[in-house]
Amino acid sequence: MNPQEDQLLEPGLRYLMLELTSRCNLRCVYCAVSQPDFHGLDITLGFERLRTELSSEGPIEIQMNGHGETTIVRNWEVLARELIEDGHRLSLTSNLAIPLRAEELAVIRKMQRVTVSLDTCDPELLARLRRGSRLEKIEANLQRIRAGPGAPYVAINCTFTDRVMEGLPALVEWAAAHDLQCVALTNLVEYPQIDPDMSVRHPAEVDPQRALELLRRARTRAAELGLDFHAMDGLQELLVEASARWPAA
Amino acid sequence: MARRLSSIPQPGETRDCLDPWNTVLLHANGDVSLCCWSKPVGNLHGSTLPEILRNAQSTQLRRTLLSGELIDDCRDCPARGLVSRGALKVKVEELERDAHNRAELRRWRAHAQVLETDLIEQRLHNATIAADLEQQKLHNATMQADLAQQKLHNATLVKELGSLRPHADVLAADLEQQKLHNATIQADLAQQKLHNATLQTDLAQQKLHNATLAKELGSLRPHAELLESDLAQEKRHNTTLLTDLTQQKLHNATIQADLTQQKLHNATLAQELASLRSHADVLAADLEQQQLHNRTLALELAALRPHAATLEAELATLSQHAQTLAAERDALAKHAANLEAEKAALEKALGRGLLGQLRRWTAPLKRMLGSG
Repeated sequence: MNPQEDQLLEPGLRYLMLELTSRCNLRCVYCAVSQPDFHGLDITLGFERLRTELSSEGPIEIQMNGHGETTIVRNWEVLARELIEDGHRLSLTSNLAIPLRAEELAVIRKMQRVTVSLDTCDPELLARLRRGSRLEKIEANLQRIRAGPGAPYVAINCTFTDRVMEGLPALVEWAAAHDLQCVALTNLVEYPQIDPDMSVRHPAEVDPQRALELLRRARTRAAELGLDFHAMDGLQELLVEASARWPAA
Repeated sequence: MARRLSSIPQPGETRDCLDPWNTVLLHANGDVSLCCWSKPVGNLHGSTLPEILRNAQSTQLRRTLLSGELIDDCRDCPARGLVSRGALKVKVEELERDAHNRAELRRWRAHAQVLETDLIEQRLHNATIAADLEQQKLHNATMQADLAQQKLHNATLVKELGSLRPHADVLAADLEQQKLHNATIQADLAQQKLHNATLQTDLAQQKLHNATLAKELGSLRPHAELLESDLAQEKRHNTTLLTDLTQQKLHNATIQADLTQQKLHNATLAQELASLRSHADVLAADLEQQQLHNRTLALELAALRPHAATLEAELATLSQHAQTLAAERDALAKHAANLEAEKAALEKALGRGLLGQLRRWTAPLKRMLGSG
């Protein structure tokens, strides 16, 4: 590459995903954390060092998530508040399965966005998929977040599997009913099945056409309800490709 | 092992991904990845974030995306779609411009912050200067007012000067007269000096007279000493008199005690007298009975004449005894009167007699001391 092209290799950091822990309070059937050989740990860097490193490229957008659940890390909200004070824009991804403390609520209300990991609004299915999660607890936390002043943008993040695809339109309705702003879909990475009674598969391998149809309906309904709707780029492409190859029923 | 389901890139295609340029995933163990799906390119326990973002692995990852020669992680990526290499290059160029613009923005923001600080300081400084200016204006106004007053005062002074000039001529004439008056005063002064010389002569004579008086005083001093000696003797005499007086008072007290005893004795005597009188009455009654008896006996006298003679003798004795008692009573009354007289004389002597005598004795002494 010539020098001009070398210039194109320079980083321009804007987003940072901060994994404060790889431990989790849930054991979702499709997640790497639930694998028998997975060992979680909390971050091995001190908060002060983290602040220094995260500010080294100027103010950025920091999303607090990773394999684990951020809110189980002690004093996570203190670090979050300090990072906001340093000029960064913060977002949080959480399963909201644990009742939030007042200090946590206070810092969450200063964030740009909260993404709630929720695949379905069917309580029984949720409990079986995301083992340890209870819909009523999530609803209670969401209500508290939305109730206070300065509530952030709240999105639902759904790992799109054959188990939940039929419930996608209902999930959009549920999100609107709870005054949320967005529903987003994540592409499934398949790990070895850990629960024979609750195995999950990628919709592209089960019924990509049906999945695309549900995706379209959910997107349309979201638009009608004033909700944002996003499907991960790779998911959409994969379903289209698989659908093209899919034999007609 | 995880299985990723993803679209398969065709020749000339690459992943539609800017993550290695603008995204970092910081793992709990300190590993730094440039997206959610690729392997770490460094660890914060050994390097800083800026170092990792610019190290060979990071640069190589970006290069493969641009060239379309994807590593396995990118080829199997489930999160991003596919795009032509040219389209990705355009996106990266836009990203670089954006990064450059953001850096410029940061730089300008920092500069703006400095300017803002300067502006605040400048505003403060301006406020101080404005305050000073206001004070200066006030001061100038005060000075102008003073100047106007001074001008008025000067005009007044000029006017007064015009009116004072005739007065100055009068004062000059007065001065001439004063000079003449001073000459007269000097003549008087010469006379006063002569008078002073006379007074000095008188003073010398007075001094001589004073010396004579001092000499006389020297001769009078022995006399004064004699008077002092007399005075001392008089004082001693007074002391003696005071001692005598004290003794006299004691004597009077003794006499008064005796008088009290005498009064008690008189009372006793009066009591005895009263009892004697009673006895005398009894005796008189007896006498009357005796006389009756005598008369009875006279009747018996004839027969008892010797016994009658005896009874008569007894009657005479008793009468004599009654007379003796009466004499004694009179003597005691006289003695009491004498004591009362003595008491009155002593009280008079103590109250006035002795004090008067003392005053008469001390009067000449006082006169002598006063003339000394």
